[in-house]
Amino acid sequence: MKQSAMMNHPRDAAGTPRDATASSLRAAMGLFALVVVLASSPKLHAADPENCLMCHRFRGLARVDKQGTYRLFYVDETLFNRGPHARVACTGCHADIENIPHDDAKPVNCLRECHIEEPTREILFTHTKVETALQGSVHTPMDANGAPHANLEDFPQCKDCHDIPLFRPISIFKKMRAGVSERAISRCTLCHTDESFVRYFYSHVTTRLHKARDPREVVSMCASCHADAAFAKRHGLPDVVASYLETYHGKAVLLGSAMAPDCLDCHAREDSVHEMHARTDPRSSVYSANRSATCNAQDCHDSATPALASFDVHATRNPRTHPLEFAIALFFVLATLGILLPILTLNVLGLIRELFPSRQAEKEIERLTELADRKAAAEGGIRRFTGGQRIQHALLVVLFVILCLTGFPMKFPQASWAPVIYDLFGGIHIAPIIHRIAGVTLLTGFAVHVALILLNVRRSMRRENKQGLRVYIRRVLALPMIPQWRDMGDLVAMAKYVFFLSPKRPNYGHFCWKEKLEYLGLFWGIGLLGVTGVFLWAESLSSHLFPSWVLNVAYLAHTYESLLAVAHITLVHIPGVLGRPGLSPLSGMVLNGRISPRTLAEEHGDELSGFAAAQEAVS
Amino acid sequence: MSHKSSLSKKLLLFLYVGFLGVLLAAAGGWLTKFLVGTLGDPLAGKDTQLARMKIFDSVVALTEKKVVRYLGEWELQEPRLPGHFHHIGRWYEADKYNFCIKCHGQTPHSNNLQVRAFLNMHNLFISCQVCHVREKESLAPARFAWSNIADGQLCVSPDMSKHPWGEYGAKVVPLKNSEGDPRPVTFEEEEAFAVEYFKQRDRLTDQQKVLANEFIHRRCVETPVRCSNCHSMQKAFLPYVSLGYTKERAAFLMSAEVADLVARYETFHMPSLLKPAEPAQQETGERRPNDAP
Repeated sequence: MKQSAMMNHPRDAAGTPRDATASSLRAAMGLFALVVVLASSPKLHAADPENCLMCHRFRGLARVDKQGTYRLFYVDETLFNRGPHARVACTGCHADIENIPHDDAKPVNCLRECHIEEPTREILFTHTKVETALQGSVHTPMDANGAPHANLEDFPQCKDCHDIPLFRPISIFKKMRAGVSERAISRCTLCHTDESFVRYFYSHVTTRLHKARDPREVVSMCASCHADAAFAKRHGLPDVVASYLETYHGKAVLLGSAMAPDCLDCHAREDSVHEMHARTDPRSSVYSANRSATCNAQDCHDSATPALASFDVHATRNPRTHPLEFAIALFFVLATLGILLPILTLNVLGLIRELFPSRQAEKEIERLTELADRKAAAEGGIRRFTGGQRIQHALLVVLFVILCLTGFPMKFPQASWAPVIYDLFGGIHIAPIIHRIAGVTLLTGFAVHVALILLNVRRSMRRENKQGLRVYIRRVLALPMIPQWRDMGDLVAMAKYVFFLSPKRPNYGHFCWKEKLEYLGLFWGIGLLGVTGVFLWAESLSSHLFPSWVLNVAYLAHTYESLLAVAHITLVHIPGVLGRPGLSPLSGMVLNGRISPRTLAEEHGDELSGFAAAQEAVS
Repeated sequence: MSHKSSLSKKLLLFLYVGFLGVLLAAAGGWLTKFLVGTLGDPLAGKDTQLARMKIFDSVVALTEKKVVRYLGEWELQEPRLPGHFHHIGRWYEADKYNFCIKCHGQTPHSNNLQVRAFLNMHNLFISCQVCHVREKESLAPARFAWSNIADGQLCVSPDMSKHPWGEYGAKVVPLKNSEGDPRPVTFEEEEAFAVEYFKQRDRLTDQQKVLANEFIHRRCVETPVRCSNCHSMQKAFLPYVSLGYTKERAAFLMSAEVADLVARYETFHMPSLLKPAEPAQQETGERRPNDAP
């Protein structure tokens, strides 16, 4: 709403025809002198005494030059007046324009003295000190001996990093918020009667009380050169932008955090944002000896040890430069694809095989279904999951979904859906907290689950008067969710069946090999994601315990494992459990714990063997 | 009945399995591509020809590429024009109707070095036909009206005070037909010809292309309307007031201030345009600063 209001361009006083006197136009001083005289009229805008906007306020004032470059001469008056240059007349910068008509304007020298007085000393304002700060910086086009660098055109001019700045005023009363404080303005205008000046002054000062440019803009500015592969190659630089955007810093910035550090926070010296040096330069804020001071700055990781500085912010997965990171990433890529692709293939082939079942398999399922029907009739339905198991599953589902929704926007922060989902969870400053709470709850819940199982085993041993660690371990390994050798045979039999190599469809027991694999995956996934998540969350504490390359490894493990988990659940578990024909769209099993006779016959036929034996014995 | 039911069930099952199978296979393919893409040097896969694309970038930027300024209270999303210091805010609404623009673009003037930007500026609200086309040779149009840039239909004069400068959603067009049935001057024949020409252009010889070009532009005049024809203290080519301009604005457009400005541009810059350019000028296409007017 506010933006569209800003974009509306109502005509102002400067657009109305003025009372020109034709005779003076033809006088020797010419038209330019006349408009300067007219500039003294109070109707004219303060920043446009020469009435340049008479032409330059039209968006179509443009041409394409011989080089094919589109040259636009339009100046958005409303936007111009919302920045610190609002009080600078056009000729304050375009000083070469002295007459109308004018030739092509020369490039603006940002270091010239403009017509604004610097208020503290009543001298003409200039950006000359920026030039001093830039001397010796890594961005200066001259080397230490004053000779020009190779690839001179790559070194930035003012306009390469800056377009005309816009105010980002903030209001600080009880809380800090974006915008102008009307409360403050009303106090100022009590004495300072020119409200437009008061607003200009207020906006100017408060813009400087926080980041004058949003971190996203800063990163985008640096990326315009540093993410350019050709540029990086010419200067022998790595892709620092992609690696930065892989860190929590970069992801938080992309998701709208104004507090997360952008490039300047680490690479510019605290005393001068324009003074930047190569990381090999002892003057640089990211020089090895200075890095800990930069990371441990008061507003950043102040409780961390200097070891945190060994975290490689710009780590890539390039095997030549970062072999450890490459090896970790490769392991997870192979693990993910090595587990998922074969199971996916079996699942898809299994679906096809269901369309063309063997006669033997059909007969067997019919026989088992009859048996299951009898069992259901005898027992008043077939219970598969207890109430406790269903509650645990429901909790797992809820926590998993929360973790996905609060974690995946962080994994893919540049996706259009990422900020939308994060906004649902309170944005970048709340969603990560929810993620951590959900993570800790899941870890705790899983620990309770394991403890209950182990306790149950112990109780059953007590009931049977059994003792000893060996027996205990044997009992634990005999639990129905623990894989047995038989599962390998079932897997092979299933593969043969879906590849049409065998007419025999395997009958699984209470839990099949897929379910056991998923259950074991929970131990691996929750454990790994939990531990690495805690490391990354408590990065300062981690720095007291480990060297910070551990955080690089933890990040990779967390990000890859989370994808493996989500891919497995969405591609294998959900289609396998709920997507099977006959079960879609939702199986009631997870709600009421009961399995239908047909599903029992198809999926856990072997479970009926005990019932069948009992039936035979009775008959 | 039961056979039919079984068949339809089977068909549904086929469709379901096919859909799910394709979905899972596609997801598996995407996952593989994504995961493998995370390995190695992130720069290696990037286009290394970016520098060559800069000009194309600037062209695309005008309509598609946007840059966002995060200003706290509001976000300004504006076209990204490389090397442009001032904010644009947004792009103007393009003329979707005028046939000339399909080839010549929204910024068609390039020959008159000093006034080409001014002429392009007028392209926002004055159609090409006003200055460049005559229904009959040496018969200048005398009646004008506004035509919607979206559909070319005649419309009422826009309230200019409620629009950004020059962006009225309509353009001034010359009229044909009688007073009772006014129609904008259009070129049905030439347009139909041009559409066919573009279809077959690759098959035509150079001579045929010249002939086609001549036909498409057969009603264009050699000497278009000049700036001073409209911005004159005497009589303006366009009837500003009847087109909806306020009397003050009309007076301003014909005032000494504007007329003198225009005269200076025409006097000092335009005459050289029709003369053969010197080699240096031809090379750069720009006027040298020290050239005598």
